[in-house]
Amino acid sequence: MLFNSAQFLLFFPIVVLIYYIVPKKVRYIWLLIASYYFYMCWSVKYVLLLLFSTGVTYLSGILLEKIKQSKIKKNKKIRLKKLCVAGSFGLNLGVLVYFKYFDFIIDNLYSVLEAVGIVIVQPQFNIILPVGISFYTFQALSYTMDVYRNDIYAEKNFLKYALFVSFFPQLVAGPIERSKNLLKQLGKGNQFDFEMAWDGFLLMLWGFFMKIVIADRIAIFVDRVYGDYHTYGGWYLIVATMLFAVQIYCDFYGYSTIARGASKILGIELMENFNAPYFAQSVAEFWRKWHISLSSWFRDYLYFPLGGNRKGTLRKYLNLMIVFLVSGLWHGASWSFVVWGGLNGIYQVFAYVLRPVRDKLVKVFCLDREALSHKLFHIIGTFLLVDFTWIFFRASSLKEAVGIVRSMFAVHNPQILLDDSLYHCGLDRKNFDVMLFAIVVLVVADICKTRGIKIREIIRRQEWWFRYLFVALSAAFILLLGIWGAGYDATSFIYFQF
Amino acid sequence: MKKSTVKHLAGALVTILLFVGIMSYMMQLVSRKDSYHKYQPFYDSQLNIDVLFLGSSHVRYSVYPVELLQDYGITAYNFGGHSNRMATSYWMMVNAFDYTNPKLVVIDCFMLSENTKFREDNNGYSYLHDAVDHIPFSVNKVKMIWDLLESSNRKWEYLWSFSQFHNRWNQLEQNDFEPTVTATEGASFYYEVYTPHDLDVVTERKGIQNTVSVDYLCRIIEECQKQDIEVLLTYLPFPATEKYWDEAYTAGKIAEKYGVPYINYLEEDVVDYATDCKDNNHLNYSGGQKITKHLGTYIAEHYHLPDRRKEADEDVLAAKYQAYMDYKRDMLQAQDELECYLVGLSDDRFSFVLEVEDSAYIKKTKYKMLLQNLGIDQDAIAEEGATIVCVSGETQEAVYYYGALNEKMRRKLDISDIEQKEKENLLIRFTVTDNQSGERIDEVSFVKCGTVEANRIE
Repeated sequence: MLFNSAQFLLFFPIVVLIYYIVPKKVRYIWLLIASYYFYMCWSVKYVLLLLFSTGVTYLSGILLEKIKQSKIKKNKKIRLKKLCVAGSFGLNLGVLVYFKYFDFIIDNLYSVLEAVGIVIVQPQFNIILPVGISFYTFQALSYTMDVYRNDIYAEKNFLKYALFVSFFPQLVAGPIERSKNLLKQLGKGNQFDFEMAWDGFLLMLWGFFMKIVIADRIAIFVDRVYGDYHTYGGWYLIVATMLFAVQIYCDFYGYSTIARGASKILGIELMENFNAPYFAQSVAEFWRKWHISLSSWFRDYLYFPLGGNRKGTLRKYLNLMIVFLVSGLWHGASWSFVVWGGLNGIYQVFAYVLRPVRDKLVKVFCLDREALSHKLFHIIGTFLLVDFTWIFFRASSLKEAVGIVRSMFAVHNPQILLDDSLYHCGLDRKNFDVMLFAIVVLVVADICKTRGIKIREIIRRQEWWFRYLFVALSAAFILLLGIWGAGYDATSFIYFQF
Repeated sequence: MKKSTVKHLAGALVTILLFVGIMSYMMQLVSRKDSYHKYQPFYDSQLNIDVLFLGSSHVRYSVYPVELLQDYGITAYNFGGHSNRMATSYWMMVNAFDYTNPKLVVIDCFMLSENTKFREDNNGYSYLHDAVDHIPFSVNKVKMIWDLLESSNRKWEYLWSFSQFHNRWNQLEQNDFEPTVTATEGASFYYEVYTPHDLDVVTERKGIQNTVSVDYLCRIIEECQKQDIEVLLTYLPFPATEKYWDEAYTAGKIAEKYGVPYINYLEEDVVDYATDCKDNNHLNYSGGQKITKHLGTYIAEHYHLPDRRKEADEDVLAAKYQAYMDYKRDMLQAQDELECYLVGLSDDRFSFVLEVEDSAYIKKTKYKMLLQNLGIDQDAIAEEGATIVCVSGETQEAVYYYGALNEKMRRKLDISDIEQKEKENLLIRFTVTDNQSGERIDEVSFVKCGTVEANRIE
């Protein structure tokens, strides 16, 4: 079930109510039942995959613990532990590769064979990608690595561990939690904390605002333009691409925020997954602020094991490229995602390579790196660089992405920014204005974040009548202005396909 | 319980109440007002509604309850709706029983051969909103939605129409902030004229197969009989093809089976298809007037319904009639085509003076039939030159004058002089008056444009 569905709005309060009614010791069992029910609403049969991943990684943890405590020789211990990790990774990634990449691999294999003159009838497998498999697989594997590295002890309670893998607020689209943070919170059976629940509710409201007021509204425009990019060339595509940057941010950030809010109401803290990424002053900084849980996963479980920046400059660049190419592939089984990831990697490599040049330029031209203008220049520059890569992310194929880039520069039509043309791309003037206003609200919120201003805290400190009125009005206006319901097609979260 | 817990619970309650309050206002604001506009007076009625008219748009455009009250003392409401199938009518009736105790239910049997509970296309879902949205939330409403939309996943938009209409926030008009209600007790008027060609002559009467609509018609009758409510079946007239003659025949058989009276208007000589049709499926205002009178007389003669005029507050009744007349006046004034205007005059509440400037033209064209429909004798219209006809609404008698009217005559007939700019190409001029109040309703001239049509000029 989607977060922005009547089903969830009925499901969640019931889960919370029962959670706080049942004895503390068994609350995690109730959450486990609710989480599996949540997943089964997507697909009953793919619950088996979730169970498989849970079982394999649980056993890997138990095995690793046993090996650690055994009296066998150190070298053998290390070999056995590595074997255990390899087994866990192999089985889980094997499942992931099969469901996510099998069709992609076969398609490319057949393309290569065709290119060399071997023509074979290609069978159609049409394997359906289980929702959230990329997320829960990575979360489960991070546990294996954490036990391997002795960051945590293996969890002996299978049910508690199963809840860690399947915890419903973050099951299908993250954030990808670390066992160190989440596991210990799950068995506690928290007392109801009103302040935490209130904060959680505000987070959920903010998440719904981003998702159904901003992201789903922008989607109407972007889908129209990208869906017919031959007609909507030039500045239509430029505007749509810039708006897509906001759409994907709000879609994903919105989901993560709803997940965080829902968890907080249950007394559980999830990690912050975004930190005003479009205010980053470099692509490297952007990736420290965007999808933080995934970036840090790749950093800890791929970049560092590859050697990180400890094996020389060239090796550092290579490791960066590997991480971003894999990250691209993680996002989707398509060359356009690989190009997207690759571009982000290239940006960072070039940034490192050109650093001495930039430093020289700053010195020669006496530029002040702390000046607002300088920061603004970097922020806008970073946004444009990142936004260009979103073309490859949004397009349905590499060919389409190239076509879009061509179409963007082939047509010269800046006048559409001044006349009514933009109001004929799915959003009328009023909806377009609401979208712009909502984006301004988002920008203000992110600026506050960069300055350490906690808006929720400010609201909390106001008079009771203001707080309650603010919440009631916000909820009502989100429902009024949101894109949902029978009047629209249900728009799923973008990241569910991963 | 701790003080802080009480405080927090109170705060949550206040927030919920505020939210519910704001949402209630918003829900009302953004909902489409069509259903409210048509049906709200039913809920606001201070008199018991003794007769419910159920059916499709055939009923909506052919039965005028205010005139039933004014002329016969019968309180009625028109529940006819666009594409309403029998199942929808059944549930509208069941829900209406929560608010009134009717003595008689009149059901029109058009679309008896339809095998669905409602029209299952985009328009149908929209029409269903018209039929459902006005009904206050209740167990019967939930049953209605669950039954009609049995296999559909769109139930929630009818139980909570905000889910459908919340995106109307950018289309709000004054009517959304200050919604108006119909003055016609659910009826609507068509003014267009359509003359069917080659009417089907159906001699063989045969029935239709059993359908969902037949089932629900039986349920309507059984429900009424269970509650000692009289039932009258009708098949309202229109240029019917063979299929609809079969429906009418089946309706008669069902009436026979349940021992309820039935009027098959396809076999009655109440309307004239040459002047009384809006299209090949609906009657226009002229046809509706005739049907209303016929039904009013029939009900008054066959059912002993109380005369509600006697118990109603006089001021309330007067206001109701005035609102109705105002509506009819506005509708008449909105007609820019002569034929529509002539249809609008087929109302015995209007008296009018016609100044036919080009009598020869009138006699050669379709307007001749429409004038005849108003009780104007074609032979009495001059072959050439001007004819002035005074028609009294109450008596429907026409008095004829010929040639140009002098000032004295104009004063006597209380009609103003024709202005110079109107004289050019003037075809016909009307001065219309309300019988009861004597108020001037309209003064309008129609000129010839091209060879066939005439248009209004101000």
